[in-house]
Amino acid sequence: MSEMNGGQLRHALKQVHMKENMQEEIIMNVRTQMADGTYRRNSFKRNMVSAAACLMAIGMVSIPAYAGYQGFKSAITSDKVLARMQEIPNEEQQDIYNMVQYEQRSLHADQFSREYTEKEMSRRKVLQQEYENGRFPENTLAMVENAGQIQDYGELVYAKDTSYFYLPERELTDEEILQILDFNSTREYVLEQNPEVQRQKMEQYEEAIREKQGDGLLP
Amino acid sequence: MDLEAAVRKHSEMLYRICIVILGSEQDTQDAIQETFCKYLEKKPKFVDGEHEKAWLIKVATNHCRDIQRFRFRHPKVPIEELAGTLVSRQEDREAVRELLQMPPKQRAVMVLHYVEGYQVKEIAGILGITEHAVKKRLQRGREQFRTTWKEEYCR
Repeated sequence: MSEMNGGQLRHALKQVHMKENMQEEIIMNVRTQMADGTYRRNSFKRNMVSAAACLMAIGMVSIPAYAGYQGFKSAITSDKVLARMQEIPNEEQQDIYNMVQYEQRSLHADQFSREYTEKEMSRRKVLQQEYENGRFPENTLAMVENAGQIQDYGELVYAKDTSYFYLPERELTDEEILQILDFNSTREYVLEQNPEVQRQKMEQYEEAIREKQGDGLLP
Repeated sequence: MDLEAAVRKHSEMLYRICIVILGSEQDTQDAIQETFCKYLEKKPKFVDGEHEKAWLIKVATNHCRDIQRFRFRHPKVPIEELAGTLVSRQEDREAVRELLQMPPKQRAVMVLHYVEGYQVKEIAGILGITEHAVKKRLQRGREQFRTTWKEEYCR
């Protein structure tokens, strides 16, 4: 039975092909990144993460969680955002943690009712910077317990049971994009505070060290 | 290193693996690009073509893991929609949909074994996990397929 399914799976996946021009885009982007130093800058950040990982793993020094956040390019990238997160009451943190746990148990990754438009993507980049500099949304993201409660997609809303962001057909406003950024930061922060998650991160650090020591396949 | 030749030879294979793990076209392209950047940066010496392929898969799956864990992720399209975009035949779509519903770690192992033809030991080497973990993930993946496909195709 499994062999037959394996055959079907193989057949299905062999039908999956890259979209036209993706190879050309990859070649062009790789050349650009290598030429303008973008990749090297990102590599430097990754190396800093590995260095921090080494130090943490051997237990010689304790590195503030904040440093970890910066290294991993987590949602928490500024002291202003961190201060905001630290103000979240414990009860609220627990609620958010339970929600994230539920998402993980039910294997739901975040999904969106539509792709971001290019304009929204570029606004998001700008607003991410402003968010880190202390521009926060006036309200929190609207949420419902289950997707069935949503009447229409007129407004931005998040369904907890399916981890689904329902985006309005119109362009997202700055306030709404900030709400999404804030929501993501909150989830990241709450997760980071959990001892079990910290244990898992330690395992990841160790894995990063192994990776740093070599890719494992080269002689 | 001949970037263009390497991309032409291996990117389709990397695409299949990364899209299954990440479920997003844009994240997949990012992962493949970073893989080839590392390829140019490290300039590894390969014993043969298989060694090169395994190295690329290892680096790509590591990038996928980083994207999933630590970076801003592009919006994901719903599984149903993604499966429809990737393949056209109904049976293929069902198989892809079932695969995408598995946890990402399981998907990677299933693809490497059933699609790319790697053995348990090789997968363990590529993903940096134990052979036991590979076997477990394969077993869970097969169980998931068995229950769902049996219901739909064996009536």
